[in-house]
Amino acid sequence: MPEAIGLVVLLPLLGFLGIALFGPRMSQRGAAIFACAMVGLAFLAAVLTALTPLFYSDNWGSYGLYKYDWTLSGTWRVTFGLAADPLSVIMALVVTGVGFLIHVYSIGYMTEHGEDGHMHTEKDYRRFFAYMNLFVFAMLLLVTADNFVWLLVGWGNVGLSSFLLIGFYKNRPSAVAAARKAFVMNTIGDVGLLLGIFVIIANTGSASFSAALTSANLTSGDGSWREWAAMLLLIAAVAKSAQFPLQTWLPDAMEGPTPVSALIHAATMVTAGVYLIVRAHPIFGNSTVALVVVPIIGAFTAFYAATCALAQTDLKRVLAYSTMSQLGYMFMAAGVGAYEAAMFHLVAHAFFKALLFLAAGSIIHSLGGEQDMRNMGGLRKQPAMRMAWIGFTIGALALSGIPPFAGFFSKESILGVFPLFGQATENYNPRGLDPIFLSVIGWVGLLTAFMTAFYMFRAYMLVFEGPQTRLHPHSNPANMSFVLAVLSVLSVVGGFLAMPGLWNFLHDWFQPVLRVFDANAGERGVWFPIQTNGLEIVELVLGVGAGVAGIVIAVGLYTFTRQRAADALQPTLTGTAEEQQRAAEGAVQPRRATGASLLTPRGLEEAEIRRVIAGRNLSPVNKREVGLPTGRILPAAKPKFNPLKLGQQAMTAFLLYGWGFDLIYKMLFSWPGEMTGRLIARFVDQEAEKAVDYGLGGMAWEGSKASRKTETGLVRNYALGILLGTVALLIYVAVQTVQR
Amino acid sequence: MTFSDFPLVTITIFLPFVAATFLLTASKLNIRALYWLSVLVAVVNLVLAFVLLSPFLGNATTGFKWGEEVSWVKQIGLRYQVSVDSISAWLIVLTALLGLVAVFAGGGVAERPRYFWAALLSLEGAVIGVFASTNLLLFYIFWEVMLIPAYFLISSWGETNFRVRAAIRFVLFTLAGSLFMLVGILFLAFVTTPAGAEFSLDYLQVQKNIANLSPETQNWLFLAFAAAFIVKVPLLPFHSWLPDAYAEAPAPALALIAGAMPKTGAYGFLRFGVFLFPAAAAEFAPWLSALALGGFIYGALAALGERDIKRVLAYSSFSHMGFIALGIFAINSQGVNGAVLQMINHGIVTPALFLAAAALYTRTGTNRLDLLGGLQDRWPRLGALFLVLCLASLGLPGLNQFAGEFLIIGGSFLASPIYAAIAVVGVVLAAWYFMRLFQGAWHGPKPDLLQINAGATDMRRAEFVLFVPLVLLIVLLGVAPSLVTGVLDPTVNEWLRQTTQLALGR
Repeated sequence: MPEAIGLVVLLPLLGFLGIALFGPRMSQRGAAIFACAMVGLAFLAAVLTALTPLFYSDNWGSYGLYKYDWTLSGTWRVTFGLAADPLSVIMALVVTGVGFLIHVYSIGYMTEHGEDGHMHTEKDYRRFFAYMNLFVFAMLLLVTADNFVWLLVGWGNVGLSSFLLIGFYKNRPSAVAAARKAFVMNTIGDVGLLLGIFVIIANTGSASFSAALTSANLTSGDGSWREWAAMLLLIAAVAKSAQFPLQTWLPDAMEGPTPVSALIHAATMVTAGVYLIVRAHPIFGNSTVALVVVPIIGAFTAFYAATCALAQTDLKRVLAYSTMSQLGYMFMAAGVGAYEAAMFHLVAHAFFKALLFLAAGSIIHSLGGEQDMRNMGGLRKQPAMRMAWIGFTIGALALSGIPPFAGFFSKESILGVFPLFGQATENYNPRGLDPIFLSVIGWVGLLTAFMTAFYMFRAYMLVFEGPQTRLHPHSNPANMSFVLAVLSVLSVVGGFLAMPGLWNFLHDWFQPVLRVFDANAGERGVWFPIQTNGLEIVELVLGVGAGVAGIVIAVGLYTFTRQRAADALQPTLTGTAEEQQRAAEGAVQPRRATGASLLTPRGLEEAEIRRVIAGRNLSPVNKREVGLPTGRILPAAKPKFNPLKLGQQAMTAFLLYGWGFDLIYKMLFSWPGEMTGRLIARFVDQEAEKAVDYGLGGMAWEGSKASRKTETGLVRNYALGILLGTVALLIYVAVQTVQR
Repeated sequence: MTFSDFPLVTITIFLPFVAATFLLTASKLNIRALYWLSVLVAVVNLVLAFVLLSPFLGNATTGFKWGEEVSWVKQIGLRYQVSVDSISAWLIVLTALLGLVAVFAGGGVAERPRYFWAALLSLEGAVIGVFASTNLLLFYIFWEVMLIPAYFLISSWGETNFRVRAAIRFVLFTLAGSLFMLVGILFLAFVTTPAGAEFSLDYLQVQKNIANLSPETQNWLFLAFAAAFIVKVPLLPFHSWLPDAYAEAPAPALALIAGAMPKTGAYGFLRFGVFLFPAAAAEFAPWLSALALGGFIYGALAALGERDIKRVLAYSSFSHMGFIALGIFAINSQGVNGAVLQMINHGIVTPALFLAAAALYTRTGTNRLDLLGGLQDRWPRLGALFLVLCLASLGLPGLNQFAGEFLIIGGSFLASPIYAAIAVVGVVLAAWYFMRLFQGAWHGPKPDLLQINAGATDMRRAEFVLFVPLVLLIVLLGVAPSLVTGVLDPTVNEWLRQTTQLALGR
């Protein structure tokens, strides 16, 4: 039933409007259940839509459902319409399915302390669910729109709900700044998409997928517009999916509550860029530039984000960089035309990354908002953390690409597109890309897979192994554990959608949409199928081997060396919830004493040991404390100059701050922008006003003063004037006469 | 006498003036009764405006409908001629709506309220007169009449001691521009009238005669008209009257001063620029587009650097007016449709923003962003309203200004992709400064607000009555802008076809 897609979009909108308008009349639990019910029903409607192929056996795909004219002008006619085709339906299933699970999880998560250290009020609770429903609505609009303009409407509105949810702890300055940054960077993507739409409309006469992306439109002409359109759409995709060079907002977006990070910044919204590329694949696949640029961006981002994740100390930031890195994989695949593989990884990643985030969320939740991994440890042995441990382990194994978890199949299907030894055959390489190029990308992917396994198990070791944390976890509500269990199962079986060599449901599923929109509707088409003939055994061994090696090295490093203690001395990026709360309240309070008896040398020593074990940093210098016997440890002697150690520290800081891109962008854009603005508003315009007031006004004033002086009231002056005038006239007449 | 013979346009123009005169003289009557009378007049005028619009709805009617004509001063071609096509009908509907908003919101004014409402109503009448005039000289007369109530609104009800200076600067700037237009109009009357014939400044007739002029004359005449419009819109270097005037004017008056009055400039560019001097307009379009783009970016940067909420909004309004002018100078169907649509959208959003800022001011006693913060806990509904208005103004897809933005950038893209590429920079800046504005007041840490009105409640009933319809309009026009463009499109296309025909002699 393709028409059910209307319900899919409508129900979350009703949920949002219901809570926004009638929220105060609902109980806290009532609002949450209402929100969950709306998303759950939307999921059922999506399932109903997905059953369409049972009734219409071949080439299904309906466009222009619920159509009306949005705006018209001259030859432009932009309509609203929904699409029910394999691509939109699978996205709708992921969004509503994972969205529903995360909504259910949030019922428990949002009942207690927020990550800003304050208790969530009832108002906050309702606000959270209203925003979440708004997000689900916008995301569904994005994936079900049958034209680029309404895709942009969804695109902008997911940006908005992302803004609202990142800044959910609205009185915390870091959250507010992160929200604004995410919104502005996403707006850059929005305008890229907008310009791309104009290129498409100007050259095809329509913005709707079914009319614009026909083979006639895409193969005729000189094709330079396709390059432009692909590059402009790529700006949008890059901004939304946090790919280089618009990647810096995603790590900061972790300021939002963890369920938000799971839903928006891991499972759904950030994959919109991949969706856009797959949706517009006739443009991307027919653009020679995009076929090179997109995989390079993807590979670079995958590598970049994986290196950054190596040094992070905040659990959520590790997962954020990991998301960015996995999205890089999807871009790699989608860029060279392996759309099935990209979508496969998108779906599988939605399961296991949501699982990882929610497991991390339940850890953070039960530790009272603590996010720094160095303050965790030994959680495996805590009975309260049993479900989080299982979930996190399964998620980490899936992410590392260990069979038989979902990540193994999806990641191998991507790596299979890039033959490592340049042996690309005609079959695997329909667009005739350079085999060397593909193999370089493949090696980068392999290296990234190794780093992925390493940083995931570094996080695992820091959180679950080692000495027990001082913090006392309490158990989580049952609904949170239930959701973790469901996602764990999905992270295992999700990979069975496509079994190389045995079956490939995804190929059959995407066949219609990829064929309908294929520009060179020939035998091969522009896309790589996931290889059904089985993977090359060498590559398979290398791919799994990279993951296993990463795990082994991480476990070894954190079990047998002093790496844990070394990590504890790293600089920190984000403070604890408590510190941030204090900063938010604007009060500068002296740091709390560590609790040990501080006056004795033994007390000091004890304090140091505790801090190193617990991973506490040395407290920053506080002027008030100078001279007082506090817990601050002074170094015993001046440390020796050690270039190796310095280099290591510099490297760590470099990775911790994401290669310093934040700083660069600040220097290049945000600072000059604000300064120019201040210059204009507080100086240039003020001076211009003064120039007008005192310049023009003053000129008139002075002129009138001068001419006023002639009005003396003395007859002799006037007589003189008359005389001079007469003389002048006479001279003029005389000269005229003589000349004639 | 059939219904269409009824002098409806004249009534729509002069009803507010009559009501204003009555208000000025009725010193004995109860002030509340007078208030509701003013509101009633504004409502009636809104209904009349919709009646004016009605012939254009539903079918592809183009050209002028309705209309009255009376001879006035024959010797200089001045006839009282008023008529509307669908462009001016929409703008009259907007003005009547804003008149209602202004009078309704102005109920709480403390000083000399009768005079305040009278000024608002006469400003509404004058703006409607500008939109309805089809005689060039009559247009000029209404153009100058606008200044009188606007001057008093700023100089008498302004917010600080600088109000008189701001008002004078505003009047002198606009006057300086419009005197060029007066000279242009008179010159036009001389050069277009055949020898021995009666002077005529009838719009349609002048439009036909323009093609006979030499290109150079057309250029000079276009520039003379443009001088008036540039200051009124305003475009980049002629905006220095604007921040002070907007910062001084009280919020209800800003509904008309910022919501409706700048549109007369943009409308002038369209009706007496592009449609009257198509060749000259096409020749100067790149220069004026550059000014418009410059204003768009410059205003956005200024809004980014400004600390005072009202001045941020003033600069944002200036910035968006530049954007509207950009659409007009694309001189194609998309750009012009988008510009008129955006005039309506901007006319709804900007006054609402100013009024919301005023509602915030009454509660906090300050407009300084650096003194505000974290207010959403206190007044969540007003915060939500602010958010929706900011989002609408920054062009969030799905709200009304996006629809205009889409067509304007689309039109300028067709004119030259470079314009579109520069324009989107302004769109990103708008997102930046509006988020800075919103978060600065409503999010972030809570500073010590000494003068904050702790007892102030969240939105009151009168505020709901004022803002809810505006928000509904914002959403409606965002979801279905075809309600407007569907009516505009035939007229715009017809005008563009005719004028390009005249200009190119085809």
